[in-house]
Amino acid sequence: MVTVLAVALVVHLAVIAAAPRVVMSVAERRIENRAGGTNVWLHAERVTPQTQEVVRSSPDLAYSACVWDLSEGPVRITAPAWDDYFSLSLYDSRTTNIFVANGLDTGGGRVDVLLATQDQAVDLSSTDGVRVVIAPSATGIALLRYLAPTRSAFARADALRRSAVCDARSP
Amino acid sequence: MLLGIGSAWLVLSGAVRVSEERVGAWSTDLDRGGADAGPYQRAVTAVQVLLALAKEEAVYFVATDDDAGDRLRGDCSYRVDGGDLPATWWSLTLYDGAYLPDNDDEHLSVDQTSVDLAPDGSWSAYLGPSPDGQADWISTDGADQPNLVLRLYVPEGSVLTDPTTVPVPRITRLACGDNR
Repeated sequence: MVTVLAVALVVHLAVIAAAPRVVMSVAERRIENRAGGTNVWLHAERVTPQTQEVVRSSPDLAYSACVWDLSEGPVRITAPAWDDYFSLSLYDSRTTNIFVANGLDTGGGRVDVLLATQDQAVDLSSTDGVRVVIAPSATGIALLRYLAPTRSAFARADALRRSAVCDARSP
Repeated sequence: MLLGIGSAWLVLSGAVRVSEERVGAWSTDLDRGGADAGPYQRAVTAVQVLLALAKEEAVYFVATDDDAGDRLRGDCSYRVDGGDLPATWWSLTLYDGAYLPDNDDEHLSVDQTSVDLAPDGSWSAYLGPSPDGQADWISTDGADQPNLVLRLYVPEGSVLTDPTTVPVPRITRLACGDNR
């Protein structure tokens, strides 16, 4: 009986510990496949019961996602400014929200970051004033949120977010 | 092994709740999405609210019951009365379990920019399977496990220091089934 309980405890803890990486890995692969690769934005359709893909997504927001991959070097990520709430958030491979910035943080301007590993950050000679974010994992997900609760607001946000950057080639 | 997997699933599915604070009919977990999250919070977040924001950016409150303590039902109507909320922007969304209910009503949420706000910031939404002529309707049509999520974006400091001070909306059941 004790052995059974011990095995159950070990399995229980293993499942709990593995769940975040497994779920993130699945999410990364799905986004990457639909976007056509890593370091490419996937601009999601307006969230409806028919288009929802992620648990508890908000129908009031226009979402864009990019799987960042630092294996070839730092990745530049930007979010163009919006006249309502908007934010850029970064998630590591364990689901931790390692960075977030919104329009209030930038005084209404765009969000602009250079994502790098600790080693890559040491080698950066110049960042032209762009904020450097240190990533604890080589891959993860960048997410844009633009407040767009109506069809017309979504159409405007959709046009705007096309200028967002998620690119390893423009550090 | 089945016992281990089963008990882990009870936690991940939310059947067994590991860490949250209660405010009226609502519950919240401030460590969701943040670097301080423990292994249980991290696992639950991954399964139930993947890509949740850290508390400094957004705080999420969830209600599965009305203020009388009765489970929310898709065939009942409710009035949701709120006040001025301590955040830059807020929204209130109806889910069926972890997903939006399967209907095409296009009335699954209200937010600070869409709801009729009184001069003092108070507002009222109507929750039910049909609009019944009410303003600010949130549809429960098709929801077997209806629950509400209140999002507070860029919350004031008081929300983070003591979420029990948030003037959360009151949820009052009006009628059910054919009596609606």
